[in-house]
Amino acid sequence: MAPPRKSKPQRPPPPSRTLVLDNGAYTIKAGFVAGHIADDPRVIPNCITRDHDGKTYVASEIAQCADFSEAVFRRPVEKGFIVNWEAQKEIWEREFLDDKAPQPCDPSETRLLLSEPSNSLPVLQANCDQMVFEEFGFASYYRGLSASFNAYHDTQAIFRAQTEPLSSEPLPVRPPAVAAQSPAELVLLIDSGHSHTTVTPVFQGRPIHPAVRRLDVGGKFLTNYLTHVLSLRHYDMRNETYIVNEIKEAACYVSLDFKRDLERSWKGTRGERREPYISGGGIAKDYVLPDFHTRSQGIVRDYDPAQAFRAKRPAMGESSEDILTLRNERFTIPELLFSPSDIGMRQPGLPDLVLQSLHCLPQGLWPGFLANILVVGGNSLLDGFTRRLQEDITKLVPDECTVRVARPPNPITNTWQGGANLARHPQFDSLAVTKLEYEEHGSVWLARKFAAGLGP
Amino acid sequence: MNNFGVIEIASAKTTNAPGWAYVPDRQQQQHLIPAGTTNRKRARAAASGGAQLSFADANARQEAKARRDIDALDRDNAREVQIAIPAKPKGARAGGGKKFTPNVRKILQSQKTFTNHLDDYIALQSQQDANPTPTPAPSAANSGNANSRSAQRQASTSKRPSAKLEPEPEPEDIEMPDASEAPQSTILTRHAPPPPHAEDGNPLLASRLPPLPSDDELCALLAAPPLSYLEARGTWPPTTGGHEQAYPTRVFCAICGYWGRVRCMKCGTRVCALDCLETHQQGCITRYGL
Repeated sequence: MAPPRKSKPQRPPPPSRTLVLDNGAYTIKAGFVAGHIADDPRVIPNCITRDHDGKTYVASEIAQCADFSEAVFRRPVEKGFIVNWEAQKEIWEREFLDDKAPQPCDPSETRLLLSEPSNSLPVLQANCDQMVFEEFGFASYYRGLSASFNAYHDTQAIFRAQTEPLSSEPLPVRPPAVAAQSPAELVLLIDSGHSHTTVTPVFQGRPIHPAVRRLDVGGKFLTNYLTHVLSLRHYDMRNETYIVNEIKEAACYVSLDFKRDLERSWKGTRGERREPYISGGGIAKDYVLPDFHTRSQGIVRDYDPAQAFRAKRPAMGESSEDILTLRNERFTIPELLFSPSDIGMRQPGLPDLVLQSLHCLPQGLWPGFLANILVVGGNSLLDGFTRRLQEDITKLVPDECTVRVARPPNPITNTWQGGANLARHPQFDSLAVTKLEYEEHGSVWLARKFAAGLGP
Repeated sequence: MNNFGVIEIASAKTTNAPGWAYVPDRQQQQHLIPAGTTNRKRARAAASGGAQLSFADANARQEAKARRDIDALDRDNAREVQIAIPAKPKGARAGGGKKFTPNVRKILQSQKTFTNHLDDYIALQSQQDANPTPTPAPSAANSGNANSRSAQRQASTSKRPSAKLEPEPEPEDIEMPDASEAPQSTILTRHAPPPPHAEDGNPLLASRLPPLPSDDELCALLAAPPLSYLEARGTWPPTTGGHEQAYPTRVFCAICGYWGRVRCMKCGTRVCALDCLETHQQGCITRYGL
């Protein structure tokens, strides 16, 4: 007899309860869907953290951590795939399976909907299936491409919200009831996450596999590059991944005119006094580093030339703040998404990648996909990301094509929301596999069934 | 770093693996020097891939360094750390007493990283390629434009049961009004044509759309198997954009990040101007001597 649950005693979990899990490399997005009601997803850091005192925090315990200086992380997800099950199991148990977990559930009465990135290795998929059934014992389970979940939205509403101020042209209106029932017809999904950026054409909720393309630049890569640059030019930040990540999220932006911005942030040749450099030129920002005593959050503020002058002469005024002046670091870092060759990576930038993906498709589908480009993932929150992407793609494709790039209201949980919509889809029951079926048919059959997905 | 004239050759091998795997050396042999040239520099540039390469004159040492730097950017922590899983707080369900199935124990105890898994997979693939079995190959890369184009043509010439009344649409572009009369697709959602306009017949305003793919073609696309992990990576140089020659890559100052306009004469690092050059040379001299 299991001890009674304290958190949700009033509602015993019905068998139709589904745990929707978007297991990202940086955060897990998790929530339950019961019947037609979906909870709001909880965003859980998917890592085990150790601070400089040697104290360890698992997943959402990180909220108790007050001092992130020299914090180190262990992440079970590598390149988007769950690789280290030892750590992942611990995190799942603490978040979902233990009695005192924040989102408790009984796996034997719960369905699991798990997202995975495209082009996974078969052995990793098999490991995942085995863990889900043999270790956790979920009642039934579906593993699908996270990109395709995003089609289960009223995507046209997202595009309307994006383009409304620009064009007054009426677009075909889709009743919302229909949108919840069936996936969007065509979406070119760009998912720019922690480990990589993928381009996936999704046709009626099903990915077109030969056209999936990946760029190995993600949020982690950008953070590490910013760390490298800052350590070279300012302070040694090599052990301060957490702080640098905050700097990146707060201060970095995607430049709409790279050459101009670079010109304005240049200090000039020797002896030259360039006005935009001295005044900051609207680009330079001061980042006040946290010291974790009086300030646990860094602050971005406009560049103050007087402050910089004072900092050079410590006698003139005691400053208790550590200030990092960011200039071209603000936009050359996210620029790597658009041209990774800047640091010698031999991979095409995101606009080229979109084009490479389109070249695998019949030309008749180009206009449809180009007009429905959806960006999700944490990097899409960078200022100017969607606009720059739209401009760059427009330059590469035929003139007649309309290019629309939109970002959903919450690009981080959008995949989860789509997954929750899929879990409420009438056809979802035919997709999921029960534990009994798995025990009867085995993992090879399971892999084939998930690969086939929804039939035409 | 004085390496006594030993130059490290760029290598794609990864070695920090627990256990081991045969990894095929897939490096392309590009070191075919064109026979006509006697120019040393030109031969070297050709051997390294010529103008396609980002750093046309980078030698093997710089290339290896660049690759190492890029690999370093993919790490979670700056240094190697081992974080053990902390003990469960009191009151949590005791998971320790539970027996694992053999599969689960194997998975949990595996210390393989993604790179190890990928190397295993590549080794397995090449083994299958070497002695093919009757089973079909797991994935046929259909990345070429020509491939999909030919598939399209093939599909459009094949008989379709739905195309009974309408004539076959041309493989060429057709005018927009015709698009609405194209054979009814059972897969694509049917949308009503836009409302008629007085200027519809104006030849100057006629817009041309490529024909929509047929049902067969769409089914083939949707049924295609996923590419392998490495195949899904974007191809470099990006020549599919219509222009054959990729844009030259940009070079930046190694110190301040502005355009790299001049080159250090000792090591070839790009810097922007004198100030940065001097900063650079402080480090460069200690490394390479005067």
